[in-house]
Amino acid sequence: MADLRSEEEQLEAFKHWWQSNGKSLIAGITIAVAGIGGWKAWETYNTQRAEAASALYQQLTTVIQQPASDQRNKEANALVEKLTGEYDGSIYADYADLFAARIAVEQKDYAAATGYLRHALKHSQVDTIQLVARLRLARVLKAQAKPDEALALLNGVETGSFEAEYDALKGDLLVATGKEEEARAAYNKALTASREQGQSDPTLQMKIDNLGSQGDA
Amino acid sequence: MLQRIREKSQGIIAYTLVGVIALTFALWGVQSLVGAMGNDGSTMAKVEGTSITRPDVERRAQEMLRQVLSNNDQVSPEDINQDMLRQFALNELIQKAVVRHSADQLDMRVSDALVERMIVQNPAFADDQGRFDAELFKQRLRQQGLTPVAYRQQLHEQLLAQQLIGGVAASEFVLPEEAAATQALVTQTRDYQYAVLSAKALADKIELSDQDLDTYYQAHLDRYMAPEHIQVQYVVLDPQDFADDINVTDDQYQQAYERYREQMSKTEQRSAAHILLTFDSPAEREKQMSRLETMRKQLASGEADFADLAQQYSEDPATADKGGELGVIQPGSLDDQFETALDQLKKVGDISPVVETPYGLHLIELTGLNAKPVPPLSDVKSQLRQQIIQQPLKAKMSDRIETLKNLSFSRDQLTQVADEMNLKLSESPILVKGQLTGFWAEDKVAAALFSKEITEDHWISEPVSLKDGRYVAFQSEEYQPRQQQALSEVKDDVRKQLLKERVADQNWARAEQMLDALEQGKQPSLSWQSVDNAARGRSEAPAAVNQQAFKLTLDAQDVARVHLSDGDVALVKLNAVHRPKVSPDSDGVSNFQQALIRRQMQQQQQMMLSQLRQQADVEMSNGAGQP
Repeated sequence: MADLRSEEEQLEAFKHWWQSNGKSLIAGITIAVAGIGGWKAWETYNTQRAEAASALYQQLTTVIQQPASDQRNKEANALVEKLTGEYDGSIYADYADLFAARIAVEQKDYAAATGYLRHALKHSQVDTIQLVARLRLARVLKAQAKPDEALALLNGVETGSFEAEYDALKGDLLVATGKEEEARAAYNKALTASREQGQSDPTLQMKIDNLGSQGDA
Repeated sequence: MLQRIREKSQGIIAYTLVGVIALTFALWGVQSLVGAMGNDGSTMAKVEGTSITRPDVERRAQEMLRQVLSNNDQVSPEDINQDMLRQFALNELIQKAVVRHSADQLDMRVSDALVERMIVQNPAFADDQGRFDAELFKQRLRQQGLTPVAYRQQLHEQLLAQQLIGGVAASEFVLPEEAAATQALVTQTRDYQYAVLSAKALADKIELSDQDLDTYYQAHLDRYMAPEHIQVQYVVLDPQDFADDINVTDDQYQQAYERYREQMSKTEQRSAAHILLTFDSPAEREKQMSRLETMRKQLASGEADFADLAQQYSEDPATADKGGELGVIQPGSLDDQFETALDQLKKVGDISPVVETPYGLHLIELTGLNAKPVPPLSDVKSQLRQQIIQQPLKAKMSDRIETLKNLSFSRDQLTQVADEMNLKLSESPILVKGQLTGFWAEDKVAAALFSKEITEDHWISEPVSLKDGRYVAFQSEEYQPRQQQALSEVKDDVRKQLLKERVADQNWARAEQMLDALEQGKQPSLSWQSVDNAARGRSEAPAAVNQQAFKLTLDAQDVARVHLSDGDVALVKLNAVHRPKVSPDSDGVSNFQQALIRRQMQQQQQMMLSQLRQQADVEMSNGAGQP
């Protein structure tokens, strides 16, 4: 019983306990404090990195809004290189790829454009960005007269909210490969999906209406 | 000693608790504790655990309303569906929360420095030289009811949203090949022919039996409803009717005229000058008093000039230099004693006796009097009469209203009331609910007209006050609730409608026979009209025909029929499709590219937003979907 023990005995018991457990207690506290400190430092480091990438990206969006010129493209490409080089895997690097693709298309360098888009498709951690990159890649491939490759890229993809655009593009590619009836099905799916989204694409209906007239023009 | 250890150990527990709380704050911020407090039941939606409350939605909806109203003068708040507005607001707030959450998940950050740079670079906050002006910044924010902290936070959020959503739009492109293909599709022209089957001749051959009419009538009963209407007898109590009976005596006119003159005199303007002498003791007061008396005598005899004296002696530093001139005195602006003395001065140049006010002793001179001439009694007599009879008229009117009220309650027929009160009994036109005009349309009257007491119980109405001061009481003569019209009443309408439908149906069937004949290679007699090079949405043929032509194939068997107006039907057949050759390098393509890219940018943003929303955890509270 505690109150039968003398104060000396209690002190003695505490000393004993301290000798066997004290070191591990101090070590535990130290590790915990260091851990929290380290975690905070890591968070700060990450935030600063993200903010630096964000500032570069902001600059890039400003540059890209200027009218096309060699000067603009040079500045933009330098920013893109920095973002994809130093901040690869961040969403800012993904966007840098998409911007670079836009500039390449403007310069009619479709090979370079597909390069950037493939890079974004492969490296992005964000499925929305992947959906965008994949769609744009297929469009450039179509312009390069590679409809089969483009179709292969689009098939079997979980398209989410991008269903209408994917199906419309599939329709275009199927028309290009001479599969009119399959194209009609794809266009109709696109029409339904875009109506569900509250969008209306007048050219979609025109494309459907136009299907039968290809024959002997 | 034990006691002390116990105290100490309590201390340790307390310290530990504080430590835990401090650690929570350090790691997760204040939000973690506040957020844990739960929700007060007003949550309309939850986005990743963050609540959007009813007050949030209400506030945003009100903001939207103000925006709509300030942009459209013709719109009044009643025109706007508040529930729909709340839906918009809720949707927008959810969208914002989703974007905020997604940006955070994707490790997107906007530094304070960037926010600051955007503020400094914003032309709205720049001065004439284009430099950032901190004062202007604060002023602009105040106009919007924002604090700098709140504005920075808003901007921070906007920048994040722009980076996330704007990136997808700003990186969009349209390939020249795509624009060229679209241009070729849109600018395509077609040659076709069409033949109109007129319905006109068909009508004469169609016989409609009474049985047909009845069937049609039974199938469309809701089209043949007579609206609720009533016809009443009524009396009007008009105060003007007995205004002439009230006598006004000359005495009353005289009194009213006096009051009128007094009123007029209050509008006159008086200017004054004064000489002020102050004092600190009764002895000094005496001395100053006698000085002013002396001055007054000098002025009366013409030895001295008021302005000179004021300049020399007045102790009012504000006016002494100006010769004591105070300018126009607004009634009530100065001390009572001062104004009373001033009002007693009759003409310009008159000087008051010595006046004492809390400031000291004054001599006052009337320096200006601007009075409008008072018109003679004869000119204002009718105006005064209106004033005088107002009270007695009111009393008489309320007597009459009381009588009318009592009679309309106690009598069975309005005729009796009209006789007893010597009022003219009138008959209303047929009054249709929802289409009332004149005083019948006034809310109170309309409500009373179609009340149960009038329509069913056949009571006399209470006197109802009209906006122009008159009163009306009425009793129903004839009442019709909304009801089915008998076929006999509407037979002509039914016949017309049915005939129209029959003609259209027959013509449509005739067109089908033609199509069959054409398919079998026969040549039914049709007058074909040719259209060459018709563009989409632009041709000499009826719009429905042109639209159909752009849906047809070049298959010779592919002939279509379309409805035109008045039961007419057209057959359409495609002859040729002209597909323009558009090269991706041609000039016009860039215009198409511009138009396409704008639409695509907007579409991509929309799709991205809905994709993010699908992926986020958005919970709608019960009832939030349909307020």
